[in-house]
Amino acid sequence: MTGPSAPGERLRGAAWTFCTAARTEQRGMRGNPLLLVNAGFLPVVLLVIAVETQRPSPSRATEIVTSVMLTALWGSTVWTSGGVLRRERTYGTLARCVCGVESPTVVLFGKSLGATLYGVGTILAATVVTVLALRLPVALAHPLWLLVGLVVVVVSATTLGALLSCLFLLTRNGLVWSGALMYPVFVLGGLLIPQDFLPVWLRWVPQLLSLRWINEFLSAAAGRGPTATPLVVAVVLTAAYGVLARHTYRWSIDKARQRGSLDHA
Amino acid sequence: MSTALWRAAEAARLGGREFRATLPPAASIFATLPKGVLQIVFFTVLGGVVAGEDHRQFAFVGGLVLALTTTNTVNVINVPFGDKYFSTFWRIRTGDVPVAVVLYARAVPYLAVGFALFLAEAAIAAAVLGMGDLAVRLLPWLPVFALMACGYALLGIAAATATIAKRADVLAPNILGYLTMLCCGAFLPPGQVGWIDAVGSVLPVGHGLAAVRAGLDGRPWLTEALLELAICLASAVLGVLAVGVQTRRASRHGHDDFA
Repeated sequence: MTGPSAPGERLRGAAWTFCTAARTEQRGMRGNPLLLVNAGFLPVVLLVIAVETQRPSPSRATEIVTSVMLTALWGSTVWTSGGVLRRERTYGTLARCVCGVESPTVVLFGKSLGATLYGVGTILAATVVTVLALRLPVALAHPLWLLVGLVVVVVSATTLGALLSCLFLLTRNGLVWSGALMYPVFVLGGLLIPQDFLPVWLRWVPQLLSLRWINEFLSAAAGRGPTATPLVVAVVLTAAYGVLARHTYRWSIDKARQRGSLDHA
Repeated sequence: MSTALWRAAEAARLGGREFRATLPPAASIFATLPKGVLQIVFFTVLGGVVAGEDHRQFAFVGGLVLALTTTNTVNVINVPFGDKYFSTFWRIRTGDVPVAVVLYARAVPYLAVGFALFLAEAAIAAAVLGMGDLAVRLLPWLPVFALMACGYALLGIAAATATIAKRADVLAPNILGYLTMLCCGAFLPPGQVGWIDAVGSVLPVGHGLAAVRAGLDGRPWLTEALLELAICLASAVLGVLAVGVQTRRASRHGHDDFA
């Protein structure tokens, strides 16, 4: 006799689905060298041009390295976790995914985490090698807080990627829009270009991006000491992205079901 | 009109239709155009952030070239990719018109639209950044910008065609884009890092950009412009060689789909 499964069992099932989705995405990405190139080359290029044009002071060098890593993470998120649902549609697996027993949202977030971990790992490795090659004096004053910041980076980029992925589901030109979404955040994200360099009427934009707050937290944790406010704001924004992604996903899937267009935009 | 010319024109017309299918006008206007504008703005403002106000003008000119090549012109690689994804290479290979002619003629609309978009991007970015004077001074150098776009397109097609049988096909144009950004003096002035200058000297864009900068400063520019032309021609030869090798390979192994 079968009946409703116990909450513990459902939770275990969801956790298993989440981990399997993350692993599946990572395996898929291993066979896609383009994603590796985009995550690996961008931090190297940005770091070299930013540092070699004019050698920065040690404190500024740490800020530049953090900003470059987060800028590259945005670029990587757009192409990797942001493309999860686009790839599901390309491979013809989206309809099966949303009709499965487990919640499609769990699968989406699992895959987004898998893609983000892959991107973060590649960016970290590329940045460390470049910093060593350029002999940049980078400070790591509070390593434990840096580790906390790194965890928030991964969670935040995962939810951001899931949100982007849902938006790309609404168009058949997802690849083109992916490319177009990179530079708005490069310019207005408050990362490599500080907020003060933006026109006054645009300075509110970076406040909406969790990566800008994480940048502030990491830069402080690497040097003079961390403060709680940027970390709290980043966590709150991350939670908001997660809720928004969940609702957007459900809405776009409902729309696609109504139109019978799950596997094509 | 001779038959050969008519065939090439028909191939170019096909390229135009392909372009509209791959990049609909809405995507060009609402995605590619803003991306180009923001790319120019990003590099120009970044120049001011990392090296002070003096570097803004330098970075603006470099940003223009990066938008022209790595954002607009890079779309020409859709020509060889299209044949791979739609399995149409065998038809071209067995046709009367040489394969290279068909590929290059189809790439012409991509280049033309990319250059038109570049003009709009440059005008908007110059207005946003308050660099109108510099933008006007750059107008006489548009032929050199066109030459850089041609060289980049030809090398992009050559690189994509040479690697198209591997899964690395989309890697080559991306790596070319990153190398251009790093090595061609768009943002990082030449003379800072030796190996970067060495790589940039054999790629398209580097010499053309040097010619434009020299011209703006009132220095001799012709040698650099001729070097850019030479690299453009060398890229064309590499492209023809790559097409020849892939055609021969397809004939021998039946790998028309470039699986």
